[in-house]
Amino acid sequence: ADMVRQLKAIIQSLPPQCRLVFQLVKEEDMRYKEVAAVLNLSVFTVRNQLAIAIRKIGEAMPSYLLPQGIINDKFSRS
Amino acid sequence: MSEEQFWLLVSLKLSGEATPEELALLDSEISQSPEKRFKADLLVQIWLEKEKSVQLYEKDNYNRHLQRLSNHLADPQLRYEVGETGSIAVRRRSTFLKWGIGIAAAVAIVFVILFAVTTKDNLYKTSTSKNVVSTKRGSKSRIQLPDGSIVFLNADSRIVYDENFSGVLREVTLFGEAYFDVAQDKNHPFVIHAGGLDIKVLGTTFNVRSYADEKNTETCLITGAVEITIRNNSDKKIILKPNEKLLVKNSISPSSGNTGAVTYEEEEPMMILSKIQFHSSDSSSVIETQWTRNTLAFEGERLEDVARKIERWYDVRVVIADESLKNNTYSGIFEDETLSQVIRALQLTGGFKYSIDKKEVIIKK
Repeated sequence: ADMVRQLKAIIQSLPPQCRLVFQLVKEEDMRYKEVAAVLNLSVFTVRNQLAIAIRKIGEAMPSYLLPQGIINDKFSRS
Repeated sequence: MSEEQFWLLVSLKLSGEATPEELALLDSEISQSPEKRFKADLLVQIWLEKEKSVQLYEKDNYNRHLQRLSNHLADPQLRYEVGETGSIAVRRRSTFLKWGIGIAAAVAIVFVILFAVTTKDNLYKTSTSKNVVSTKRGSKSRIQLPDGSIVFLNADSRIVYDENFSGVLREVTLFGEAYFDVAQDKNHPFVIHAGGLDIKVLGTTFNVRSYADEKNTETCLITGAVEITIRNNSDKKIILKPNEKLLVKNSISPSSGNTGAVTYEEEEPMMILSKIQFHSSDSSSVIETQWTRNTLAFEGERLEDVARKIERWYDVRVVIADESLKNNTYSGIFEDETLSQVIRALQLTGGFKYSIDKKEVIIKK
């Protein structure tokens, strides 16, 4: 639940177009081409915007999870 | 490989748009770096997590069970599985045979259950009962729809919807002004009928203003996206993005005689697409939705329009005795203030005299 809240905060802080692309692809299951048509962007832009969103989320999250020892669980072999 | 490239590959995989080469490249990256694998794992988990907070079809246990089954059927073909090499595969729109068999089995189960309980009224209601919620002047209301969507209804407005939202579409008819916060459900599009427009929602929050006694129907988008179709011109579709606003003229078509038909007029534009005005960089101060925060707000609006807003807000009658005053424009934001405070504030800027007698305000030179 806490993670959900953190996640929502990160999504809210995304630049508007980036957030919109993220939501349309994730929640509405739209393909890049469809999103590009809806938002009047190039597929290239859609692809990059999603990548930016994923990167921001990916970079913000792990620091939250570390204390819970998930990395230790997964990587017990050295 | 750069961080940027890595995340691009991850995003391509999650969205199902990655080519086989890109997938292979990502796989080799994560097999070489446990840290990268962890990050990719995490994103997959986030991506696949469904919102559990919205509960559809709250009715009884039976309906919930049925809903769960049909969710399984309609599930997007995102699957989380671990391949031989330990890589994570996220496959989308796959057409594997075993999926087909799985779906057929699920469908069969659903049919069996349907047959077994044909006596249940809920399933076979041909005429579903409609709920109507209305507000009078001077009052607002907050409603929760059967799917968990929230509607704030402004004064002097009405909304009509199916008690159960049992169709393919979740449909709502609006007279007046409402602010919608629509629950996600991509399998059942949410459609609002207002003054000759059909507004199809793509997961979002937005404001619709469609009073019969006003010239225009206005839709303001706050988050997400909506697709607006004009009822009599179904080839005209407009998509709104956040912070855009669409105004469409209301006209009553002489032949049909009911509100909602939009006719074309030569002189004035039928539709205007514009940006929403902000007070600061904070989106919670959008003028058009201040009413949901119990704040009366207007910006550069004609006295005549302001008067109408005041009439609905306080449930009073406002008469502008002098025609020439009607075109003066005013801006203001009023939170928790009385009618006389508001009128006095306007007068300070505005150059008119007024009198308030119980429920009637007269504005004159």
